Amino acid sequence: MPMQDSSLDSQDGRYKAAADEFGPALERLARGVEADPAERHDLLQDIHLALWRSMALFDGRCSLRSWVYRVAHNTAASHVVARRRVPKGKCIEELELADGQPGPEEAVSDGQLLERLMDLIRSLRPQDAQLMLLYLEDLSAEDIGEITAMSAGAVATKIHRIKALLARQFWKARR
Amino acid sequence: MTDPIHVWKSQTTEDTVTLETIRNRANKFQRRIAMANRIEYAASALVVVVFAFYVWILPGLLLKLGSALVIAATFYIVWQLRRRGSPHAVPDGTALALIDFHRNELARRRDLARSAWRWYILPALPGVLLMIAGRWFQSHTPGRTIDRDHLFIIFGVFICALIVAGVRYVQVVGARKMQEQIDELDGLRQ
Repeated sequence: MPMQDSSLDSQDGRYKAAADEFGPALERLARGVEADPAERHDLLQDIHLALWRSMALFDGRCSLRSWVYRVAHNTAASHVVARRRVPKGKCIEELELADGQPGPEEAVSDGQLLERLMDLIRSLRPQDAQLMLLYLEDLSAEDIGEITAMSAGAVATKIHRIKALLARQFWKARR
Repeated sequence: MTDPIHVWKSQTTEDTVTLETIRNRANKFQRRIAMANRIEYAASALVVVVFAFYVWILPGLLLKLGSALVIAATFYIVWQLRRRGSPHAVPDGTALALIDFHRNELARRRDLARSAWRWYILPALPGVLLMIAGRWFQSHTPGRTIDRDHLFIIFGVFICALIVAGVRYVQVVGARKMQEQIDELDGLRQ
């Protein structure tokens, strides 16, 4: 890829700093979006490539955190579209309503819980899955608002529903 | 209750991506786009060559003129495809806020679905119609009566019209659904 020599160092430097800080979160995002290991590896590389490219344009108008999450999630969304697996997906509200009753008692490990969490994320429609992933990264409502451009009210409502849904799912599993 | 955030964040991560890997991937990506573009141009060139051959060998002015118009339409469609952006390229604006990115992509695909008939189907129509007229008035299949040949032509035109109408219907319905999603995204901003 052609790059201007004068920006090479700073672009690389900014990318490295971002990758060091957010690398694990980017890997978790790829896991949440893509179930197939080989495709997931490809997706993660695409995310890093998009991030590296974007660092030539980063001008500090939003925080580095918001920038990285925007680039990563948008790249993941394009990956899903390109793989022609745009799931109709369910919205959080549908799942919340459908899952109103507690299930049978089960004893499950963290690994199994994680698998369930992945299944849950992948069953959601893309926008809701993104929101769930941002919530699971422990971002504040304000950060999520900045990353998604949703209004504070919409973020608050969605997070409330995500919490209720997760509480029910995990309560079912560990009860 | 286990904290889902804790479970999520306690995953072990193992995939490492180096700058070297990224540069290789960037080069590979550029090569892939170049190859896709070459295939697109080759397909267009094939259409041009075949219809240029038709201009040469087909009998009657209408068939020759129709073939020439199909060639002109092919150039126009290729130009429109380039103008509207390669479908193989990464969408612009990856650093946009998530719902803006979704919205842009939906709007781009909606506009493409709405306008495709204007720059994809319509330009090809004059050439195709002239070729049909040429077949109807000037050139008939040997060993077939004219009435029987006309029946074949009508059947062929009917099948083609059905396919075009089907494609158009899918585009219109798709555009409407995308508009609904855009409206929903706009609602999240308020």
